[in-house]
Amino acid sequence: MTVLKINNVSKDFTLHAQDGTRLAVFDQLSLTLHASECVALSGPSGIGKSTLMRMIYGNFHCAHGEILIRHQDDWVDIATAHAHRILDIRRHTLGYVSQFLRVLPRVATMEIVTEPARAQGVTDVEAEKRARDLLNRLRVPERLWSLSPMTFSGGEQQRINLARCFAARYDVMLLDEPTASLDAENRATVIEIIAEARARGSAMIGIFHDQAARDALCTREINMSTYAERAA
Amino acid sequence: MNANHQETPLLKAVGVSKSFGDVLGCQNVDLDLFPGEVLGIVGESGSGKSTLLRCLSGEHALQNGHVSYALRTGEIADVHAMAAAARRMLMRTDWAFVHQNPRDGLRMGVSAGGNVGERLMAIGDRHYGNIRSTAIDWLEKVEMSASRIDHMPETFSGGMQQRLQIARNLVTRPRLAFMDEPTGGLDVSVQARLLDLLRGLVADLDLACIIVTHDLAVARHLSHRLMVMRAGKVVEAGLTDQILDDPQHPYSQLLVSSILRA
Repeated sequence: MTVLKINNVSKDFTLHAQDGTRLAVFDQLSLTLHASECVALSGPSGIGKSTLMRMIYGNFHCAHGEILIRHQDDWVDIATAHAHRILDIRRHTLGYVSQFLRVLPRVATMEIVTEPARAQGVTDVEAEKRARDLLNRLRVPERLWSLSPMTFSGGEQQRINLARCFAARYDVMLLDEPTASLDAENRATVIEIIAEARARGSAMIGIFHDQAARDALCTREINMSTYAERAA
Repeated sequence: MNANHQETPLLKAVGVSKSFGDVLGCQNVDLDLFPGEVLGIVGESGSGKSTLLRCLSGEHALQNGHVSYALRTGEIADVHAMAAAARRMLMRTDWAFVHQNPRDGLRMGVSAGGNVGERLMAIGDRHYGNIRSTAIDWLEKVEMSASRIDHMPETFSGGMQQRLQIARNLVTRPRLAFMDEPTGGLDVSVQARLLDLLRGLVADLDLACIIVTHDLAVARHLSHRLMVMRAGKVVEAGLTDQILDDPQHPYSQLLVSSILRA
């Protein structure tokens, strides 16, 4: 089943404060994603991998082309959808594992981790069960669960971020270097957790600088350099 | 948030314009606010944010345009054509207005409990014991000690006064809150606490909110959608994180790039 269709998407940034300088990122990119697939975006830094993922998430504006996502049996174009619709898609259909946890002051780890699942209508009990399971597997010590992760290490924050996203269920997931800043043991666990989500049917688009993770997870690779050269 | 694009908007503004003599307040502003949705209005001082807020709440008469509100009965009311008494009733029950300066929103000559209880009495609650216990409950919700219930607001710090103002406004479980720089005069640690409190209350009460702020961190933290205003006009509107992370309009870009990173 097709879950995401990207048609002829181009991206440039216009910097109005710097004499209207126009930075072309990529041009005429198309991509179709099916359930359970895992596509790796490859190419050097600055080629537009994160930019494309942020456009799919609706975090960056898409002025050219369409980004169609299957959302509750409807096709919705993220490029033109109303803010309400995008928020609804993010709640139920589209997950984004960023590289950094955006920590709110004073909110406990357990609450942060269970929040997306609860927003999907999962009961508190079930959300907490999933959270405990993931936090344990990712070796986040139980004594930290009731604390705000504000002062935790980068690696701990990243594992909390992963637990948060994988405690919910999404048809499409965007993974921005999910194994960066983790030790070997935790890397292996994250690969397992991602593989389980794929087996449940989630489709993934990701950036994996870690070759082992890419080999273990990805079914296909898109080299962004091809589209970047056209934009330049 | 249960905001859904298919619902009727709670508040709808079309072509709202207001000037003060030659001074432009706001010009031709359209907006739809849905139940449970938080809309942030950002822009520099003098861009017309607070004027717009006062036009939407009916405090300012309009030169042009129209603001309607979906009452609990399902009836759609024209905010500016409403009888003064009906609008006052709305202000005391279904709406909240949180001012930057808590002194503008509190009755300074009445105790903390009295400030909270007054709005309950406005909706017909007459049982002293119930009013007092609800007031205590709300003081606790805004993280104030119940032992302060009989104290005058004058004896509270600025942050406590602001939390009291919020308790006073939300006790009647309004569906719509107008907030004008709610964290404006507070120091940073107090601000963080208040933001966290507001975020929780907005979600628990399924409250729709219009928050005017010049602080983009506050806007990111609380609002689902954002409107950027400059010289009385809306220059850009949309999803909060998209406007802050990939602003399109020259003025939004300037605004976002002017923030100092701590």
